[in-house]
Amino acid sequence: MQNNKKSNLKQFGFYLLLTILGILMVFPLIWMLLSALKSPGEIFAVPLKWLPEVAQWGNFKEALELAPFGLYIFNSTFTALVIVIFQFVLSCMIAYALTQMKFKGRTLVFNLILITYMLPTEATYVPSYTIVAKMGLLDTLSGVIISNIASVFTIFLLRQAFMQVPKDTIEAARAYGAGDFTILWKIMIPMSKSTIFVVSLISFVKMYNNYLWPSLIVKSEKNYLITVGLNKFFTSQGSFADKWPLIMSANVLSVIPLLILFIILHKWFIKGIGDTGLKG
Amino acid sequence: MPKIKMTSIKKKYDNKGEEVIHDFNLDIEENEFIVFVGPSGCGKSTTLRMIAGLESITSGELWMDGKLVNDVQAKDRDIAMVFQNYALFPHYNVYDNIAFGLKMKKYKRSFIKERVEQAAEILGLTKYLKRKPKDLSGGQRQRVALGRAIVRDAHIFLMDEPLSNLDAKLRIQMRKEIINLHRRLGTTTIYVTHDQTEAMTMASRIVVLNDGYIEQIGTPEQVYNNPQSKFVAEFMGSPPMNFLEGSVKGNQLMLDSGEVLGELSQSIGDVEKVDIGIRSENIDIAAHDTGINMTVNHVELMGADLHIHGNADGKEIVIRVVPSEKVAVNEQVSLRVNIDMVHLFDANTGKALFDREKVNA
Repeated sequence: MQNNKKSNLKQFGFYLLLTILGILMVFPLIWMLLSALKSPGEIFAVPLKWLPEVAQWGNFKEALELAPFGLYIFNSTFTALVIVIFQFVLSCMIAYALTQMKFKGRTLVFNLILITYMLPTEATYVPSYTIVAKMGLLDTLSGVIISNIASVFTIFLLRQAFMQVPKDTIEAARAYGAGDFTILWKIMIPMSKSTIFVVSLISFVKMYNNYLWPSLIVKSEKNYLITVGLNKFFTSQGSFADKWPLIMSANVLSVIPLLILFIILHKWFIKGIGDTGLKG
Repeated sequence: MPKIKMTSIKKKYDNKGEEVIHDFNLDIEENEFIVFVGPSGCGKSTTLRMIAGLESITSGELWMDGKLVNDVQAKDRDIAMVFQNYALFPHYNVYDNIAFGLKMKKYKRSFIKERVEQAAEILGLTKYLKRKPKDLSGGQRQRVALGRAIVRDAHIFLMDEPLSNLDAKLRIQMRKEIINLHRRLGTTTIYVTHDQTEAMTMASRIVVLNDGYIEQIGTPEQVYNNPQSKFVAEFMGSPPMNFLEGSVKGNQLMLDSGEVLGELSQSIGDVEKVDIGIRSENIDIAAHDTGINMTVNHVELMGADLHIHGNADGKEIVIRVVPSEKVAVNEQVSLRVNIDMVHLFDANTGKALFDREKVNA
């Protein structure tokens, strides 16, 4: 009886902690949503006002009129999607070679790939910029895409996932007439789909939120990604109090694609994180 | 031309450099059911995997249907393989698992359907075609693996310990099913097992392997009744063969203790040290004192037989008698050995000192 009480208390404490942490995590998002609906005075009101007196839905309309956020969101979604597809195809092939093919220097190749991960991304900006410039891809979405199609993170996780596929299963496929491509496509990928899924999703979010590198490459407004566009909007409008509801509305608009994606796919996302041991 | 011909096959793994298969020579005829048997690490699975094309051959030649296949990839060898862990594709249902090999060959959909349904019928899987492997029992999974093999109409079946993950009852049942399947399809089969009972009951010929060497090739009767080495004699048969130490002098077979076991019916000359192998069914309890005394350690009633374990001449002995025999633990009994059924092995090399088939012929 006492033990039961103790464990109930422990469980309560545990859930309380989780709830507090959950609120802390989601608070900025909620604050952003609420602020987007407030009037400038309400955002900075003292004492703090949680809910707007009258929801200012017009903020969204006004923000959209001031900058082409629809185009920015499209650019970001499009580039992120294409990058993820390229990363998926290329990383699957590399991970397959690294796990299934025997060749001299296989470990060396893998280690070299890993070493590049240790390098701070910013350190590669100058040489990468030169390459993109020489390819004539500055200020194009293709430049953003091509400079991001190789992902060490994806290669690493897919390699780990492919290593989990039982050897017997692959050998059975081989003995029953499957070649390398069929084994990759019909056995390895379906058997690692939760990892592929979560890696793709993480990559998508990362690419969607990518700011610094795209801001170096794209110059013209028609090629702005949402991150770049938001920043320009922020600087062009100035951080005056009366502009904050518009900035918040633009922020809300920018996270909508990610929110939709997460709502549709959250079951897979959680399963994938569980399967890969990835967190955060 | 035999169906499969293996000549001087050797296998070395790159990283170790140590030879694991030494000079393997074997001809397998059409429709044979060959069983590779031996303790773990003897090289039986490696040999099978070389035949499958899943393992490279270091040297020697492997011929299939008159073609040298050393460098032919697994997918082009026209074999069907059944694995110990079933190796089913977990993301496919039973139908797609069975159909996999046919789809790889790009057969028409209607043909595939017909073949899969036929195989499912033979294996009693019709009800389960839509299920995923995880929703099947071990026996059903192994049937799916068999189904995947039989639909392919492959020329050769390779089975790598397919029954070792099943419980005893299911194993006996599946053993029967595999034998029936072989009888029905007549496909040349190579079956790997460490279980000598499986080897004895299923094989048309057994290949006994030890440490990468072939110890003996023969029918189950030959291997059991005429083992050519002490290793084979010990490995095949349950309970295992009993061994006593002795010598041969002028055709008299003597134990080290000086007791005379009897006179050999064939002359093998004087041998100073022999290992005398006697199967448990070739020893009886004698009515009177014969000179070989055994102290009974324990008694096992197996149903149709009674196994009596004891110590004689410093060695552990098991004898198999009718269950009506009354023996108590710690009792002293006298043993009578059927001298015509003893096996003699050179104490140093372990090789048989005579060929029983030739003697009995």
